[in-house]
Amino acid sequence: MILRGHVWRVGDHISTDEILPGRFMSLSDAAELGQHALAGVRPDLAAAIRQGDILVAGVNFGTGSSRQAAPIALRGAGFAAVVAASFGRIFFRNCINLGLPVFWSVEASAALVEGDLVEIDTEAGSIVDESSGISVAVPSLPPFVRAIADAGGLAAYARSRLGQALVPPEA
Amino acid sequence: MSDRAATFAEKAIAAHAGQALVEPGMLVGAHVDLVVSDELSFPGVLEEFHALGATRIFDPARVIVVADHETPARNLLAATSMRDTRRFADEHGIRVLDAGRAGIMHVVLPELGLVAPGELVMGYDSHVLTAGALGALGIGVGATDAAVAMAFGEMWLRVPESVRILIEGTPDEWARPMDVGLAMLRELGQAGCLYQAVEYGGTYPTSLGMDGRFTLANIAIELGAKSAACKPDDVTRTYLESRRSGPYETPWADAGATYAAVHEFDVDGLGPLVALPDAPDRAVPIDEVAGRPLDQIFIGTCTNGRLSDLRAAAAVLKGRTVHERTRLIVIPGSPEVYLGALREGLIEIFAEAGAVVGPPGCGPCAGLHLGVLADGEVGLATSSRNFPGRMGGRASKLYLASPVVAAASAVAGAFASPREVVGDAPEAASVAART
Repeated sequence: MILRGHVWRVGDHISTDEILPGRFMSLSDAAELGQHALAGVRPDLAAAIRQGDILVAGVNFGTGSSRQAAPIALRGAGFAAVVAASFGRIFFRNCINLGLPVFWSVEASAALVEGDLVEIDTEAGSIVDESSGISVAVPSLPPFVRAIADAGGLAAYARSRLGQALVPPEA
Repeated sequence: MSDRAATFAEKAIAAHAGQALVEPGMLVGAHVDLVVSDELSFPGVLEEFHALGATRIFDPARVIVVADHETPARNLLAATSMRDTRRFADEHGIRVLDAGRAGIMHVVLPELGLVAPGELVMGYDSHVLTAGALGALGIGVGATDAAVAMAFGEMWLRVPESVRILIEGTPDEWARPMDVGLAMLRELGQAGCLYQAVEYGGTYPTSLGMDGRFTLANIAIELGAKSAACKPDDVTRTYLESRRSGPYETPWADAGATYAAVHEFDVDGLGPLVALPDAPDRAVPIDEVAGRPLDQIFIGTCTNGRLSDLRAAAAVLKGRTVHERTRLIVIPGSPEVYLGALREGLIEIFAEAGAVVGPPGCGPCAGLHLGVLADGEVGLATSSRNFPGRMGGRASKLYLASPVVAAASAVAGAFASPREVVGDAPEAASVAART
């Protein structure tokens, strides 16, 4: 899959409280949630982004609460992928489970500048910043996690595994 | 059986994944012993349950919904959602703890004997790792994970590295496990144990009662930990005696197991700390913030809402009143804690002091109800997190501290140390030290 979009940046240790504040947690519609994405840290952002843009963060992005509304809101706002130096683990697995591409890369987080146009090749495992020319290889995910991504998310993957073990023995 | 020395998490995961041994980095499917969700989150779980085409629950006795986030129903949407949750639960035979029987899940589930050492407890909440205080493997996950676990009885997980946190020494008479937790956070930072399985060790954790151990396990979430466990011992067994029938294993790490790091803390003489806005790792000694006025103080939560915590707060508040300018909200963590507090005369102390005593649950912790902070307000909570806007408006500020600092500050209407408010009172101090 090729993803192309402009970069928006947030800093370190951005919590899911800031990605999707508690007062919006009763919403379930992705588009509605999207209107409030990142309301706790950059309230201007949700209205400004274009479908397909890329969110880049520092360390420990998505720390704290497990709210799945956080990644749903990011996708609902139009982000096609999230890149960070590191992630809060529940947020990271929620992104994977939802089929929202996530890239754990200190190098990529450091290299990508807000406003730059980037192209992510999920097959090749590369992120190219077309504005600066910098290219970063991103780590590949375990086969099982790629299978979830290929299915479009854990619910879709699990549907195909009903009646069997969720994780095949050879995973 | 493997003869490779394994950490606690490696052992617990291997046992649940049907493998002789596992190593950090491996991806496995693990059978779960308990799947939990709160009531605010459960509709999201159901949506995914239906999306994956599931029609039956793997084992209804192993799934539970605990209404702690917005109960009793805080608005029409919450009421409607709860009605639908009860309907689903009735249809499928899963248990729901609703108003009157509900409390904070991380307080209630151990009380009800639903957590035993060595078990894998997973749920759609970040504080599920609290169960580790009993030597269980508690792992917080998302909505889809919980839905999949309801259908399959299984979760996918990557085996984490393990780390040891060794704590020695005796803190100041007014310091609580919360202060030890804040000190750990200050030292290691918010990503200090990111993705790692924490094992507590040293004489300090073993000196604690269960309430204190729950605090330690709970606050490890703010280090980014995947799980946090205390070694089961007689304190654990005594706690479980009246709550859990039947045998249980007590797996623990082998000597010689491999850890990514060993963090050592000497908490001798540690005094009360306060975490500044807007992050839990920004702890400073209470003296540094003494005198800063407070609009609202909240004593409760899965971090510090158990009977020992309320007892400690009451020891400070007894015979004193909450300052005019400050609202004090006290929320017992469960019906059992509430009843215990009532019988010990603690509720009377809180009420006489001018505090609000709320229904067992999360209360204002996530900014949902029972004490939301307005923009410009300054609050103090005995919870584990104080991210920007956590408890209300984006321009509200939240500090974190122990129940005794919270109680002392409620009397002063501003940050105050327990010693400052109570003076030299060894009896009160000794009650406040019980965990």
